[in-house]
Amino acid sequence: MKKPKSTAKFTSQTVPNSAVAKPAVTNLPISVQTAPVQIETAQIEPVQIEPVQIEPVQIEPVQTGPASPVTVHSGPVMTAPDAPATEPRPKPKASQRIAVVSHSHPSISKGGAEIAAYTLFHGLRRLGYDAVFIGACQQSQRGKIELGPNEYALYYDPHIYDHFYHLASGEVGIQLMTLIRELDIDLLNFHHFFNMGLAAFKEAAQEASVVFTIHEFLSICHNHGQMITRPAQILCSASSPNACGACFPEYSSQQFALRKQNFLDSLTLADAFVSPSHFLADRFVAWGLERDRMNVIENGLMHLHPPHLASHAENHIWKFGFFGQINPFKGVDIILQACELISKKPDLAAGIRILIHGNLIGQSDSFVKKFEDALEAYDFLSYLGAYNNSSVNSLMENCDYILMPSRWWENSPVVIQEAYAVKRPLICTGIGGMAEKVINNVSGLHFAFNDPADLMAVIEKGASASVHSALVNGIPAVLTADDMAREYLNVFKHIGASVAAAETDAVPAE
Amino acid sequence: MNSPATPENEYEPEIFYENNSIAGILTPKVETPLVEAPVESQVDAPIEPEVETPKPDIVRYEGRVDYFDLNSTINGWALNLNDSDAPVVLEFWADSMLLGTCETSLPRPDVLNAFKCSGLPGYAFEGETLAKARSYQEINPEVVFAVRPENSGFTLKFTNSTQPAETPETFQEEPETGADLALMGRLSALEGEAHSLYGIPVRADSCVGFIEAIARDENNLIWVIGWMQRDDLVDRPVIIQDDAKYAAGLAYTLFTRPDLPPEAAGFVGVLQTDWQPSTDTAPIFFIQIGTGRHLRAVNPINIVPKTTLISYARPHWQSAKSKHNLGLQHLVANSQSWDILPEDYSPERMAVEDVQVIAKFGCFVTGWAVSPTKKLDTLHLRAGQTVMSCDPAVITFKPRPDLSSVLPNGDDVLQRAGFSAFFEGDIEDTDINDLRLKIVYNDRTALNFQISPKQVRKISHSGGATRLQTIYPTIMAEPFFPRMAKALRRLDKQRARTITVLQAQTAAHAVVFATPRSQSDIFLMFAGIREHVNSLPNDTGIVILASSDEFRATAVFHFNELKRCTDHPVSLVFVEDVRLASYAVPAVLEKHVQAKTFAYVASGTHLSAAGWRAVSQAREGLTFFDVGNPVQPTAAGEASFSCFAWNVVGIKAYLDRTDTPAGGLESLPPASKLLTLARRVPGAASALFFPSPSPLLHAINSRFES
Repeated sequence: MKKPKSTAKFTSQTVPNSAVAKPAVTNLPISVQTAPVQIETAQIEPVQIEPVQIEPVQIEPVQTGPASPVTVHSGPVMTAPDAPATEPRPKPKASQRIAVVSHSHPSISKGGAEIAAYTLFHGLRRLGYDAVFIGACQQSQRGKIELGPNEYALYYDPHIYDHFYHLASGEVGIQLMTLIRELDIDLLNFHHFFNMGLAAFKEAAQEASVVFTIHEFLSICHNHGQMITRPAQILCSASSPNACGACFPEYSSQQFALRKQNFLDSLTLADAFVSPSHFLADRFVAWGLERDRMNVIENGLMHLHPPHLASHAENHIWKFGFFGQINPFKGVDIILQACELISKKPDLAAGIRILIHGNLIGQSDSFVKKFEDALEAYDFLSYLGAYNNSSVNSLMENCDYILMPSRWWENSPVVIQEAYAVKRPLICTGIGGMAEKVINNVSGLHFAFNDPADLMAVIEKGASASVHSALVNGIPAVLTADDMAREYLNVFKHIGASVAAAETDAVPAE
Repeated sequence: MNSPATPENEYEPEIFYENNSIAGILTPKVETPLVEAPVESQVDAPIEPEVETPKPDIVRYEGRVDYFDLNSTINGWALNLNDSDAPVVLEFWADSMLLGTCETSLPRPDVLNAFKCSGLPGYAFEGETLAKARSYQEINPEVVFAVRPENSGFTLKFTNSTQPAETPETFQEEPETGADLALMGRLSALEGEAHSLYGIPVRADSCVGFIEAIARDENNLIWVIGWMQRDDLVDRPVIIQDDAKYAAGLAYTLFTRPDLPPEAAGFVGVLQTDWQPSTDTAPIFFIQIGTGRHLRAVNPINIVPKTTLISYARPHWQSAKSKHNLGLQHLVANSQSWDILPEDYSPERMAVEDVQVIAKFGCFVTGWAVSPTKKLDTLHLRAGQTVMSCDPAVITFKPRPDLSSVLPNGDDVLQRAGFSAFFEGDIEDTDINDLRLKIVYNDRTALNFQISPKQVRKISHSGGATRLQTIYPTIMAEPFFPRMAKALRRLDKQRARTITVLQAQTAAHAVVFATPRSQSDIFLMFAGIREHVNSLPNDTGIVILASSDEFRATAVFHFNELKRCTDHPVSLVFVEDVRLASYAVPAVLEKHVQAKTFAYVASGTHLSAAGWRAVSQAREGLTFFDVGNPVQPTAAGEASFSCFAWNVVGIKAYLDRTDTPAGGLESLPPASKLLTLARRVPGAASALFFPSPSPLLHAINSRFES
């Protein structure tokens, strides 16, 4: 499964990436690193392999396989290999070590990508695979990160990061390469390039097998990966240098072309891609990634509980809950506009409640005032504030429907899986990843993009026991962490199959 | 002007060959005397003597009455041109009455030098003869005095300053215009006379007044104020006895001062002399040479700014009596003077609001000027000791209604009160602190303005010249533009020579990168270098030409990272403008890297993988790495100086002998001749952007061939 690793670690050899038989990655010059002494003297940020101090909550003990060489270091690892790795490392070994690499760590940030990566890591460990989690962490947050067993951090300075080409300090790459070599990583599953940068990704991809999981459109779209035009905020279907140059006149179309070229040069070094939605996968294939290497695996959930299914009395007050960041892309303003329409229908207004959960982020003062005015004006509208992710199940169970009025495409938002986990249908904008994950009239209801009247109509439609019951029955099963890990292992095995003849072992079984 | 008059320097007298010799024959002479002709003589141009056959039986004379004062002396010189050694007997006549005679017997080396002859041609009437003359004059105020050689009809001409005194009431006012010029001419003549009287012994035995303040102006004129006994003269030759003797011409105007008795008057005047006032000496001003009548300066000398002196004198202009009154006033505000006068000296007002300087070319001055009566004629600019005149054809006038408070009810004037003017000439940096603008009005008076250095901006490169378009919107059409364009092109090349080395390591071959002008592109550039540097041959180094601008820190950071990841020689050099970095390549490589060959990647260019393979191989002659448009990856790239390889000797010679474009070498495509000689590498680089040159830059570069 694993690629032959570079023997040119401190030399200027060029090593072909022969492990993966695809033209895009053959004969690539490998990045040449400096001598060990430079690592020792170069004032680089030490790669810290943190001692285990805090046991992760609710994580089952890892049932390690017989050959799981999980090592917990008691202090920072600063040493480079004793001697330049001019010879192949002693191989084969009994099991292949997998690193799940994330641009953050859940103890620092609870975004969808890092949660999904963390869930996979735990799923792999539960299945007995020798997995480690590598999360990027701001240097200033060293004291806040909570690393569990087999969890490692690499540190970056956010000020030394280019958000256009997504390039970081070279030191981040050095840290990552040191971790890969020190931890003897065979396969890397990147869940993002952000904070680490494409150069680090590229270096790593020449050192080990790489599976890249796509979580949003940042590679394609410089507008926070939203694929929404600037400043008109219109949904964008496809990027192009000229179109992107129109959104960002401060950059030239040539720069956008080079940006894409640089992304493709780096990402195509991956042996496989994973997308949590077909919608996202299709966009990236249309953009330039190989369809043959693209896989679609839904994100799993770390914790699943039996859902509480409430019965609906005849005078049931239907509750529609919004969960998530209240930022300009999430469409809460459409809910407010719908509230105004609902208020003109007293019967409907009397039979529903709309509950907003989440933090206000990046909203204008005018929106905040509008939000506060709406809360004041409409009895059926409530703001319940921010919520802890661990309580999302119970909060969702308090609702009949989950609202997702996003103004952007979305990919595979975790809110959908969380809603499904508690058997709650969704009312969402009928576009993109939402339309794919929420089947209209099956597991939820769609309303037209940016149309509060249609949202009101759909709310009215959903405020019916028969409709609700039918939708609940249409909700699909949700993947667990183990399920997700199994799906990923299939991908790992698939790319490993091509090198299986050269390797003694495939991915170890539990 | 001249050095102090001393016998050693053989001062040459003013000699006018005029048609007043006895026989009406112009005097032949072997050589024309080297005479500095006074202005007055220039008006009546000296008549070059015609060589005629002399008549030997006629005695020919030449001579002058240099000084005429019945109270002291009448002196001058006379020559028998047939025999210069022969003394000449002179008669002093009052009308038809002979008052006395004397014989030439005094030394006049100046005359002998001028006529290349020998003898003692000087003379002086003194004593009893003068007493007779004074008596005759009292009885006959309209008397005409004359000095003639004995038994001849030739009358010695009076040097202008020595005309017998006239009453003040008979002064003829100078014409409205040109009074200052006439005065200057008069001063020159007087100074010349003083030189001719230099040999007369002086004795300070009669102080007739004091000089109370002295000021020296820009034209080396000495302005004086004080008081003296009235003697009806308003100009005179003066000998100044200080550390040495100095000749001077003095012209002044008199005015009544209540603190003085009636026989004395205040005066304000001007001295033309080589004498320099100093507070360390006590000069004596002999105003009636040969008599001992003199003025003294207050001790110590009160040296004041001219503006102070003029401010004191100005209230007295109206009451002053002198034929030089107008001339002195004009001289104060003279178009030749660069003095800054008190603001309330005249009703004219002006200001300079903006000066844009292009080194080695000139400057553009924007400001305003208002006058209730006068019309602006020309503009001059003085930078240090350099005076530049504005081409009237390129002066632009603009309405300035905002100046209505400066000149109420002057709408017509305000319509043309704003001006923009161009002055061609080299302004040194050191002169920027001493810029004065002169407005010359149609009456030949002028107003000067000291320009504050705060108002001066240097245009140090072609990009900065765009702001000139606010002054001249169609500057490309102005007649000076071709010269300006050439100056700007030269400036850009010179500007790139300012380099600062942070670190330099020697390498035989260098890959030179000019850092891009955006942070993102700098990240991209260094990521590419880190990826490829260790694949380069060992003798190849990386040279970064960066700007000390907002991205300096980014460049330094990445350079340090680069150093840590490679053993190849790496250098970081700061240039003033990365767009011009190609012009700095020879200096950097020759002096600091000692590279023989190089590849250059311009600021707006990204080297591709193919380019990286090629940069280390291109070591012979000129090679262009084609730069493509990444938006159209299938289109062929173009050869340009954005990405090329050459040897250091080649680029140095090319830059030295070529009029290179403004905005960087890559601003223009290579000449077709170069393209035919150079090698090409396709697909080697991508453009980070395609700059749209401003119309001005386009025009600057459009008039010459690369």
